[in-house]
Amino acid sequence: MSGEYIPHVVTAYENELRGLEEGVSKLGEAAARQIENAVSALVTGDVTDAQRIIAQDKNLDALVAEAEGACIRILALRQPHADDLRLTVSTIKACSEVERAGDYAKNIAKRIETIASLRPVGPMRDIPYLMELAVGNLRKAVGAFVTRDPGLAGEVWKNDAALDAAYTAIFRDILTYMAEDSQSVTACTHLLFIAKNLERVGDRATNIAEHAYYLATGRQFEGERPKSDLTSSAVPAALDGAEE
Amino acid sequence: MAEIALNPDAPAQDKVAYHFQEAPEGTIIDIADFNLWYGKSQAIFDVNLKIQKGLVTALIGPSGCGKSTLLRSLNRMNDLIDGLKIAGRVTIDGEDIYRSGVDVIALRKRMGMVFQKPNPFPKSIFENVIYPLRVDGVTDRTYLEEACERALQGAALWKEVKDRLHENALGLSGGQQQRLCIARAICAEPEVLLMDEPCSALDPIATSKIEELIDSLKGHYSIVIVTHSMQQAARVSHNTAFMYLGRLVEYGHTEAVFTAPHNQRTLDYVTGRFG
Repeated sequence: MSGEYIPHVVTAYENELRGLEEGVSKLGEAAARQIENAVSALVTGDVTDAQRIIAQDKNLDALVAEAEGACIRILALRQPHADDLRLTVSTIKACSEVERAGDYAKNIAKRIETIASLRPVGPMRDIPYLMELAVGNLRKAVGAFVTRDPGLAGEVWKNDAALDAAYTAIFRDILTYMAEDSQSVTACTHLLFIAKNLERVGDRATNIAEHAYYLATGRQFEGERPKSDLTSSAVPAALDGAEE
Repeated sequence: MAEIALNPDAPAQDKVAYHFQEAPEGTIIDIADFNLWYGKSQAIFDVNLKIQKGLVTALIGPSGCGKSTLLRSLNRMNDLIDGLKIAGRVTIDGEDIYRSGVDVIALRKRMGMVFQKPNPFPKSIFENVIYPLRVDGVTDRTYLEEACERALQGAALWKEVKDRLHENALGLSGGQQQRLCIARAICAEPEVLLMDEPCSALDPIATSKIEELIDSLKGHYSIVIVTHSMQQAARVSHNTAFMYLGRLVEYGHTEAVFTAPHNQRTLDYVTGRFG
């Protein structure tokens, strides 16, 4: 629905609603930074940084609780309707997605000390690429939410296939490394979890995009989401060849 | 009932958005190309509205938008106003209510009306409830007593007043008086109940009781309620009609009107952004 935006007659209410959008925007950025920092600490093996990232997850959780509290206050005191209602409810949902995305950053950070103590393994080189895809999608999804852009939300939805494909490639790569070099199994297993965490960040971004689409249009996304996560049937490249 | 249509593409600003749910029994009141003038000033413009049988229809809109005028047009309450002119058609079960020769008293019996302020007569509770039957000349005591109990049960007031039916109705609380007026309205066994802001003079508890009553009356009666409380419209109605400046803007499934209205003006109104 287009048309010139008319602010609410009650200014305090208008400000509270705009506050929700700012909250989602701030939270999304905070979670994106946490994930970026976690991966760069992983690459450099910076254990101090990792500790800092773990500690900061609490701040993110507090921000989420604050934003959810604001939503509940609006529901109780303002009885929002139509797009205001959609904003309030979608904010609650988007906040929990962002909170989970932040948890993945913490989970990555927790593994850094162990990985840093082991011999470096090859598949590490692809993790930053996976992170860029995931965080890029997260930022786009939050952007779609705040600007109520259904087109951008649809883009995030479609983009998740590229992230899934990248994850599948890394998954195979890691399996191959482990199959060829049993000394690398510990580090590779940790990397596998990290890759999975990043892939999950993309899923959270997709969910936020779905909420953004609903917020903008009042409708749910239609049809099946394109999926390219084929890891459930993946085997190491070497064995793959041997089977034929 | 029809499925909920949420926000179809490209709602036109100048076209009425229709997405109301249809009752299994269809339309009871059909308002077609209805226009109304008070003297030279036009109060209602080209309204087309199909009130569904057995459902609750809420009329909402800012003061002066014509919703009460429209409600009063349905049982010809506006007839006595000087200079009133109408064009278009209003039919109930296919009968044109503005056709010449229509028995207006009989019409109003088919359409009970409840007003903003409770208006019991300065008579006993019993006499208030059975008043429509008295007007009809019914004198059978047993019949009147049964009708009184049935109407009071229907209006969820029986338990509170059954031991003091012959006390003066003006001794009841505001909420009880309003339910008494509903009992009086349904005693005539109307097909339609017209309610013009029935809760605006009541406290929240009495309001809840009226809303509960509306909920229990739906199905038996087709209810049209004018309300300034959008929360109330959202709570009690199946379909909501939004009027603005004498025109119908949107007539749709209540849930859709309050979650994803199809018209920008409706959206601005229900969210409290009216310029």
